[in-house]
Amino acid sequence: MAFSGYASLRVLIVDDFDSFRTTLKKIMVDLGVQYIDSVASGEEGLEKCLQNEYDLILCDYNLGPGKNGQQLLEELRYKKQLKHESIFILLSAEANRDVVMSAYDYEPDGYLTKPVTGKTLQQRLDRIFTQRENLNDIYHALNTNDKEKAIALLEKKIQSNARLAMQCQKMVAALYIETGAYDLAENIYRAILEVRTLEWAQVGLAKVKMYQGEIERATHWLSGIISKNPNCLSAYDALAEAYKLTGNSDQLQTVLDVAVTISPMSILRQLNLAQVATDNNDMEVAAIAYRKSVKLSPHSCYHHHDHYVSFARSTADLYEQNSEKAKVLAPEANRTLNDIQKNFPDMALDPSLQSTLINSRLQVKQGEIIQAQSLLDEAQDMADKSQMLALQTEIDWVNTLESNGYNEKAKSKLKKMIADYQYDQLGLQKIDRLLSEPVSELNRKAMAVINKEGIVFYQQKQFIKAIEFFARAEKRFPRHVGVRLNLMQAIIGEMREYGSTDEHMDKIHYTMDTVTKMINTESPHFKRYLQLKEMLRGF
Amino acid sequence: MSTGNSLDDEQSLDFSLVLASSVHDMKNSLTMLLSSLEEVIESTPVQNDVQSAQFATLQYEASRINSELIQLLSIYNMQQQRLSLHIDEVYVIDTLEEQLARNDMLFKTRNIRVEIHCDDDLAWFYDNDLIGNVIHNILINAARYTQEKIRLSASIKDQQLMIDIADDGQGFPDAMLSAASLESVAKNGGDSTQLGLFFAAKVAGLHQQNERSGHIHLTNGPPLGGGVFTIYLP
Repeated sequence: MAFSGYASLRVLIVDDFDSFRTTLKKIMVDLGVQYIDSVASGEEGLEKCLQNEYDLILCDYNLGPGKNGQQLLEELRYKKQLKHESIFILLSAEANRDVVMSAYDYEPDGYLTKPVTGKTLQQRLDRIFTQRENLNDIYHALNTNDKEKAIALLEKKIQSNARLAMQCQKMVAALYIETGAYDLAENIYRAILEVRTLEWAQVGLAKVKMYQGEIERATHWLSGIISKNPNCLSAYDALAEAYKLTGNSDQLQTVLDVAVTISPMSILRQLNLAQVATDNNDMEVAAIAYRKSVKLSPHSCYHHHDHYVSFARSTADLYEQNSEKAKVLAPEANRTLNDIQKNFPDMALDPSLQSTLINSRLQVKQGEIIQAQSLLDEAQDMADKSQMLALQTEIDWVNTLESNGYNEKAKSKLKKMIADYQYDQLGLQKIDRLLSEPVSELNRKAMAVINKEGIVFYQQKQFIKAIEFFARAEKRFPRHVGVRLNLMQAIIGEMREYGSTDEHMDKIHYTMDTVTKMINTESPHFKRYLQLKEMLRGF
Repeated sequence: MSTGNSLDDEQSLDFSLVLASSVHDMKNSLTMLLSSLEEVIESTPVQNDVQSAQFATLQYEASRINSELIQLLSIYNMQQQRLSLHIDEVYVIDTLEEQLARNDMLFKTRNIRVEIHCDDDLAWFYDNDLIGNVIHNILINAARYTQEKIRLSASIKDQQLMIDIADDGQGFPDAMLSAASLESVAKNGGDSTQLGLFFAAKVAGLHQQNERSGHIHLTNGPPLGGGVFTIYLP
């Protein structure tokens, strides 16, 4: 099946070795290609692609310092610089394609293991381009975002039982899902699965079930696929989506945590994990995931100062939860804050302020009180220039004031923030993290529900369930004294009924220490606090 | 599920890991070597038979090292459970032609004729990369023992895809043919043919459908009178 259109192709070759470039170029010339550009680095490749539209890009994976081949592909897809019908072929000496392919966020159209001979390349290109030619009208419809037309064309192709019927079924099922035609997608996947157990069809069917509302069934199926093939990335992604839909944030974090080990170079998955862990107030996981994001970002299209700031912030937050682990990360957090100035000299006021404030917090934790104070003063000078600051900056401000011992200032700032954001529920939800009692409607309701259900479990002597409930509430409302007291009472209930364990003793002492730091005699919870302290002596 | 990111990036020194990463480096160097070799052969037309034979040897040995390194890495990944199957519908002719193209220079320098007997529309379900590597190894091995001809054929029999690779050499030794299980031969034996067969048996076995597993089979005789390697994929 030779392809006859080589003469009109525009080809780009990206390889850092001169001899490989020459070899590839010669192969292209022998095939009849007339328009060939070749460059030695990912950065030059990107520049070329911004200037020209290529039909074929042959790109080495390992391009020396700078972007690698996958990062070039990601950036091209991210910037939408590749047409649907353009072919990106990745060449690599890596024998196991998974190491390269599923490690990242995007897959290339083809993957060839080096050494590549002229014959091999021609054979592969003949196949790919014949296929593209066959599907040309479909790609054209997709380029103009005409999904209905693409679907109609694909249906016709499938009916004519053409050579690429299965590929067309795969494409059309995905389009059915995109356009909400879940029943049609289900029919396709089921028909395929009757003939053969194919992973992509299994994952597809589970997704259909999920969108149809049968989320429990979908998660069950997806877990089954993963237990058979622990490397099935698309199943993890779908499972994460399912847990997100059900609001099951603990399991969402667990799935993302596994997905990043399978896909270690995927910055998007790391950032997603970091964000979810932050929402779950699991600052250790968040800090480590942000650290990885910073490490992965320099040559990526997702290079952004936010990752740097977030890593430093989560390290500072980690001090509240586990100071030993925070100490391990602190030197790197310091360095990262220094790198921000270097890498992003033209940063706007808010991120600069955040970075300065977080730096001050980190200095306090590391015992550099004078340095911390001068950073706080510096932040004050910077802020004088501006009227309106981002909410995140205000939140960092409150935390930094508290760290430096200005509790009254922090309190009055918080009061002002609550007033400023009184009509912004999303804003209030963020501020809730800093408060002993939530002010947003959503969190007040959630708080009431959690407390009520937890207390019901406690009364039914289902102490483990009650502990789980209050522990989750504690993560969500870290400054709420009442929740922590409830948690301690549930643990005491469990220990009275079934005996004490080291794990329970650790947890209860840790919680008691935390509450002791938070509470004062004016607190409405103070009496109960003393009672629980007395009860704890019995163990 | 295992845990994800860890605070500590350092891993304890594990010899198989060291071995795997050094195999990986060797493969990179070999890739450079093979492609330079191809350039040399292209740019320096063969002057005489002696030179032609030397080129053939260089080419053959380099390909063999390369394919063994791929096997080693694949087996290592299998053991680490890092090798996952990507089963999809594949046109068998594409797989066969791909492997022929990959070894084009080898067959040319050794004056070996290769025939394919496979329906253009024959499609089946398997992992194209893994099966491709199996066929690649068998072809390299066949190129060593055949006289002048290799025959590839594929067909469906009893709901299984059957790919035969036949040569007109001396055939496989009796010990290999009569072994109870090819896997045991490969484990006890030492030479590269047997590592190749071990790999082939492993890859075939990974392909499962309706409680049937893929397997391999060796015979001597027709169609060309030499060895015949067959892989069955349900």
